Amino acid sequence: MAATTLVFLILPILVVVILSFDPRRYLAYFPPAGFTFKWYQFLITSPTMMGGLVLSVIIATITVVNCLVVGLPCAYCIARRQFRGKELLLNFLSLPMLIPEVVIGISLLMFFTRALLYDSLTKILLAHFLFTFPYMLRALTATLVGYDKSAEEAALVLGANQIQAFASVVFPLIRAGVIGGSIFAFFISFDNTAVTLFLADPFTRTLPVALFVRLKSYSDPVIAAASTLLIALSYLIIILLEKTVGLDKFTGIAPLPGR
Amino acid sequence: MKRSSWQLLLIPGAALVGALLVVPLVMLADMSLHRYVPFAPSIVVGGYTLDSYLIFFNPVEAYLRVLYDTLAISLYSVVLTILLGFSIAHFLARTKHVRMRKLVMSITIASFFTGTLVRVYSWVIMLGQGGVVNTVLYALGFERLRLIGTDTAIILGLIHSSLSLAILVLVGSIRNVDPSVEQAAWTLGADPITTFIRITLPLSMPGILAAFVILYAWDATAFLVPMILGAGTHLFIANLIYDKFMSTTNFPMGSAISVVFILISLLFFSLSSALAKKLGRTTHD
Repeated sequence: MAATTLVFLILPILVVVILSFDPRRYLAYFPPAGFTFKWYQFLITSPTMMGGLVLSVIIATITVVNCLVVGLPCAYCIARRQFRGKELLLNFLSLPMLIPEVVIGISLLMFFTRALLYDSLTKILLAHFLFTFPYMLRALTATLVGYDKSAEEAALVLGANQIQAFASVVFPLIRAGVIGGSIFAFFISFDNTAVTLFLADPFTRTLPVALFVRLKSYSDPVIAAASTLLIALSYLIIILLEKTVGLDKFTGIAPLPGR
Repeated sequence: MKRSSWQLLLIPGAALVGALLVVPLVMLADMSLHRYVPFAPSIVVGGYTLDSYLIFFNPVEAYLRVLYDTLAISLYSVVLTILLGFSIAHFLARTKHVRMRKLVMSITIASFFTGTLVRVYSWVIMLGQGGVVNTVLYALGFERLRLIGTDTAIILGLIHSSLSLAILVLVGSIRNVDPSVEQAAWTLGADPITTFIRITLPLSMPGILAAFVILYAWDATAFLVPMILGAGTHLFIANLIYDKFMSTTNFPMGSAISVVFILISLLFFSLSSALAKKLGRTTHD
């Protein structure tokens, strides 16, 4: 059964890859009629697509940094300290996970308009922070709860202050979790379509939005080519992850509610 | 060292989320209580009214139907996703072949990272009139099926998009089931199926419950999958809200639907939190 499920998982993606080489202009007819690179050529030379890609990467990176900067202290408090209303706080901070992206997009649009914030990039960055933060927070909390505290205690006993202990003992231990959470957050931000759709303007198009717009107008293999490139990119990152952090550490980092 | 200064660390997070989330939602709730006046010069007209909510809950209108569709179709998807995901997660948690495990893990994670748009698109290719399934059917002599626009298509799309997440969540909790307990069952004479039903399954229940909650939230708030694979036949709540805001510009109605859905989600979330606590174990600590 596991094998069938795996096939189920891979098959549609494989089909997309195969069809990205199809020379016909209209997509969705299965056996491909030939082989060509022209869609990839179009992609690389298209300013909308390439611009979208660059923008998405920039936004995702900034979002991850924002989430880390705000999230690490929060996660530390939640994981290591007891205080009243901790459960409530964690659930409150995870709220964006529960709300449909459409609702987030629309309500933020209303809010930003009334707040007279018109700059698309700022709006997108704020929005991406909002819905990425819960995932980052939960990943970091899970990591900070799970590491072996006795090493840190040993350092403190031997005379290090809190900051020294953190830098030389705690940080290397949680590094894997932080990297895992960051990559997770990066893709949440990178892949986001619905919220960004509401907050973008014609000059600030991220890649998913550009692809979505194209999907609505044409149905050509350019999208298949873009998809294949993104899939290749994610495989590259997987390989990178495996070499640096080790894939096994990735499990248990996914966010869990009800804690 | 000051004793209470660490609480300051929480302030940026809470403040930002508070500002970005609470304020817009309050505005949304406010909007939902106004009257809908088509073509009015300004969006907010007139006094406060519960009209939108009354219309929503009126059985004659189609809104409750959409709510039902969303919750029912998501339920089917989540159950199937957990079943399928469990098979791979169990393999990943228990297998001794390191290379196979790494391979399957990379496929899972890579699948997780392929974007929603790509995924939905790939299912259009799989299920479309000229797509994979229909080409095979036609070649074998059968009639082509209309698959896009059915709830089956939506379910397939939802399963495919949440499967990797399910696997990642479940692996952690299956790993936490001590293999020696399973081995004890074997030495006492239980066959694999009995062991699974009476030992492994109950012990991984917290993880399964956690997976259920997060997958259900993920599926019920889906937007692209029901929109493209459902082709308008089975609207999900997210599509309905989008339509109200963008097509008919009925902001009060759109806001009302959003508020109702958020309240339902909160209820669901807290019920499952309570249930998880009752089950006793957490999967991390």
